Amino acid sequence: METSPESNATPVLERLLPDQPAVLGPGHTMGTVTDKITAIVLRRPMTLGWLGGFVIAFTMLNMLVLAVGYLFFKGVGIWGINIPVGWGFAIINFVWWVGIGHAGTLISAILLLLKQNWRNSINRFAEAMTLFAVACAGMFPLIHTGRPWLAYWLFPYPSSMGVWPQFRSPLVWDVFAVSTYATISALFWFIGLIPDLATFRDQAKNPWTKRIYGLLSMGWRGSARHWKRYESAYLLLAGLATPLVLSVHTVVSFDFAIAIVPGWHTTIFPPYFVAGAIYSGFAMVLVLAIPIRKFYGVEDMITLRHLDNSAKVMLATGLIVAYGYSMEAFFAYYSGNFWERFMFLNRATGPMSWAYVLLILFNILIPQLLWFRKVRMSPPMLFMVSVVVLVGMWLERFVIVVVSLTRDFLPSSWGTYTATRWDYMTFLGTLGLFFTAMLLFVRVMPSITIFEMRTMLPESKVQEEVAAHD
Amino acid sequence: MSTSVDIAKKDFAPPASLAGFRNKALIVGIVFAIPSIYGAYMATDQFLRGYLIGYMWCLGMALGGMALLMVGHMTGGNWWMLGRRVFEAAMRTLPFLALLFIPIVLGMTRLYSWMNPEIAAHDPTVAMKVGWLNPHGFIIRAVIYFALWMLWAWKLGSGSDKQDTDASPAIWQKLKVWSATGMLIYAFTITFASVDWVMSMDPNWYSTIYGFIFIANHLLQGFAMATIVLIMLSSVAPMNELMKADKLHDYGKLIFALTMVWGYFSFSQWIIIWAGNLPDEITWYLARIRGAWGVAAILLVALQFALPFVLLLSRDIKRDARKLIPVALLVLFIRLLDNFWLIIPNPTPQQALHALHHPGGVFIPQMTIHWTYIVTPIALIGLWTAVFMWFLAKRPLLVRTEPQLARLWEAGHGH
Amino acid sequence: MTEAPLYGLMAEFDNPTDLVQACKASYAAGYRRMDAYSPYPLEEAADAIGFHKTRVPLVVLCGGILGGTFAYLLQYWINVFSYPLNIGGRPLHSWPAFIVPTFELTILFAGIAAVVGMLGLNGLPQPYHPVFNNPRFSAATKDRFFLCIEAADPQFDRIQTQRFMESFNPRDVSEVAD
Repeated sequence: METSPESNATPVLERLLPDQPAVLGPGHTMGTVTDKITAIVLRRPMTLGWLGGFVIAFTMLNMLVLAVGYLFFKGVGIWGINIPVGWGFAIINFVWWVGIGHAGTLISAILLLLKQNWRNSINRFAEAMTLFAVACAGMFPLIHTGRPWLAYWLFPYPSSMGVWPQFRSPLVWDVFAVSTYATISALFWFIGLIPDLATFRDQAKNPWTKRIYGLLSMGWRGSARHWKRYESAYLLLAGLATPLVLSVHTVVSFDFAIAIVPGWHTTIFPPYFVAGAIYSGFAMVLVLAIPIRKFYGVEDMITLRHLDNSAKVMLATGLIVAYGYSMEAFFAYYSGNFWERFMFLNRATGPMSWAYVLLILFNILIPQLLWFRKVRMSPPMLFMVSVVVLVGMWLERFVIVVVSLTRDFLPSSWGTYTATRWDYMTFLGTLGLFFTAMLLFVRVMPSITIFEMRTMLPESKVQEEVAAHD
Repeated sequence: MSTSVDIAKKDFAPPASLAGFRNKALIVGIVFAIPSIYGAYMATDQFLRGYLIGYMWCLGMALGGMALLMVGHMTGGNWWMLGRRVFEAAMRTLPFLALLFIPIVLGMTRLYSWMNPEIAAHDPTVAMKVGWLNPHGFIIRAVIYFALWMLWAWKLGSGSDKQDTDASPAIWQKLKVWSATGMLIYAFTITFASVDWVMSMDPNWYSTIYGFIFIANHLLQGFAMATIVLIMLSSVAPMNELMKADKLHDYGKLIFALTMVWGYFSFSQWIIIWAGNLPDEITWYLARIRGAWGVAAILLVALQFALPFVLLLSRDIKRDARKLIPVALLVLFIRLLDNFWLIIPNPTPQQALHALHHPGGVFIPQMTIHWTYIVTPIALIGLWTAVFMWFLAKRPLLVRTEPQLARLWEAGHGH
Repeated sequence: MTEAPLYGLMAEFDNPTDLVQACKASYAAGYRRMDAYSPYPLEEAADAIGFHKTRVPLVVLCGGILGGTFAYLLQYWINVFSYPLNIGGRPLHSWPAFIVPTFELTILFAGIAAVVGMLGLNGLPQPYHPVFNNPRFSAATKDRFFLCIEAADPQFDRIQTQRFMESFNPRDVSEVAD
């Protein structure tokens, strides 16, 4: 069968440039795709690089344990929060982490529905990223309550106290949104894994490894009937996850917008939060994908096309975010409302204007580099822009949460906010949790979806005219 | 790669039947234009509001077409290769729409209460924003919007004309750059235009998601338009070979997606304003959910969201031309109802003046359906459709040099 | 040694086209109790063995309707009857607010229904299945395609069926013990 590397997949996003890299490098067959991805987990010995990364991440994770342990011992007073800024780092970090998770769902669900099959090689670890990011995010509201052991009060259950949650509060909506999101993301991820776990089961040499993957793959045997139901369920899950992922950051934005604090109460928040979430999420995908493809030598599976396309999504969502900032500024003026105007002036010129200036620089100005193909095609440059965007998106939430709260309607209730070392330790600690989980994931699970990679090979297609002769 | 289609042998000429459609639309336009002109003299205030309803609908078609054209230049896709010339024909009507904007400028003092010098000076909120809301600014901005839209329409259109014969990648690259920048320009201009032309009819109210709602409306309108036109053309070549179930399915899904986006934006705006319950925001909704206006609001939710949502869940309806057409027509009709609901409940300049002299209380408008609210939009729609059909009939229906055009003939597996 | 009971005969192919052809031919020859195995979803194979419709979407629809109804009624009952609170003067039956958890639980129930429904209809998890007795079958999750005609099929005949399957030029035809 004569095949050129260009015919491996139907390129949808990129049609024209002849020097455009392919989605999958040349020379692959079903066997080599399988071997290459399974080898990362089953054959490759533990490397020093991985161990080094793991030690650093695990140390940071221990810092989290320490910070949270002390928090439980002393209470939220060890943080910088106080009246009027009752929502400090915890909520900023919550929003930041949930947002990062969104790109994983976008890649696995929305791009699937849009038939963008370049997603196939990055969706698995992007979904894992979602899962771990949501785990990091979910922690913050819990520890922010100060009494996390009573967190089950948030759920509607018939209690002996006769008390129920109050469903007009966006914070209760958040409980439903985030727990649904965590559940569906985990299910989606696991369902996607089953066929690949069966491959691991069949490729593993060590009997115990075989048994563990066998147990996890639940007896998957690739039956045509099973595949048919599987595809149906997977597509339906994608169809459900798409509105879900939009709703999650929308509900997060409601946490602010339902209140009447200037800078929070604004109708553009839902789409603007969602765009920002995808923006930061794709930045995190690139921050993870660029080293993974390098260290594990999978540059022919996570190609420059993936980096290029991810960068384009970042550019587009970044521009939506820029549109959002412009609307905030324009309507602050157009509203003719004294407090709205003051809110904006305070952001741009008040005591915390450094955060706003950096935010504009990091989130709007620097990412404009992505207009240039040279930047999108250069992994080191992309990596740096992505880190800048991640910092910028954190600052955005800082500006929304802290700057709005420090100065509300009455000057007598104004205040300021300084984070403590425990705030920083907790935040850096969740980075440790996230990277520890990611590093463990690439060691034990297929970080590229093997069965979907097989479908991208020309040999996977049934030849129509041959069949027609019989 | 299994089956190949000889594109060179295919005929993409637009069918002669388009002239018939065009003439019918023109006749409708002229027949309804006569009473509209009568209305312009006899009931100028109402005529202008009816005119704005129809005008914003036609503008939505043109800009929706242009926006989808630009999106498609960046993403590609079967829907785009099929609908491209339809979107372009809609886009090419922008100079005509610039012409049709003149009556709005002539009647602007009867449409927008903030143009009244007394209100501009004494209404406390309006007085704070005269920097934006002033007649000179209004006209200058309108000139800028149309200049930008027409510049992009011209660039995108002339590039497309060249592509009928010239396959050079340089044109594709250029069109891509115009599209990427054009989307940015479009997002900002339509936001400010919607503020100027519709939102400012109630100068006290504002909502930051407003521009997004207009963008979603335009995209929805563009998809519904393309669905109808492509199905209409599918009785003859080349569309008869192409508008198969899988292509209809794509369009059905896109209308479905945009229906959800419309619901999402509208619900977001509603719940945030409802929960905040602040006097300068909620009054806008109060004027639109009380009494007969409440019925219109419920109809809007039922017909723009609930009904299309339930219908388009069905795979069968999405894949059957005869069932998809009514849904697309419903969408286009509800775009008119939505404009009616957005425009008519706003206080007229006289009512605003009255409120200024008698402060206190919430303005709750009566629902009155003046005959010009119906006749004038139909006249505009008829005339616009005629111009649109004229542009559509002037060019081949598909772009011959599109490198992936053969993919349209491959049978797709719809999910 | 007593002969182990036979589950069926299994033919191995190295490309999807041969498998689909074999499936079509077997279906045309009247075999019904058979299954095709491939390392990635192959819709043509399911169609060829006469499996066209799945009930998964129906299960998901039921799950979604159940979740949404449950969520709305729960909120209504809690906020209007069981524990009525005046929150900023908003009505007890605050339907705009209730829509959000209703939406979330619709998705949650529908999603769980999709997973449970798919696994349940597929009969997974399944600790034992005879096809794994064929040592060559481990390649079904890598790069080989299998067709298994079961002994339980009324048309099945140990010799005739084997001959029939060999006519497809498979890489291998082997017995699968039950």
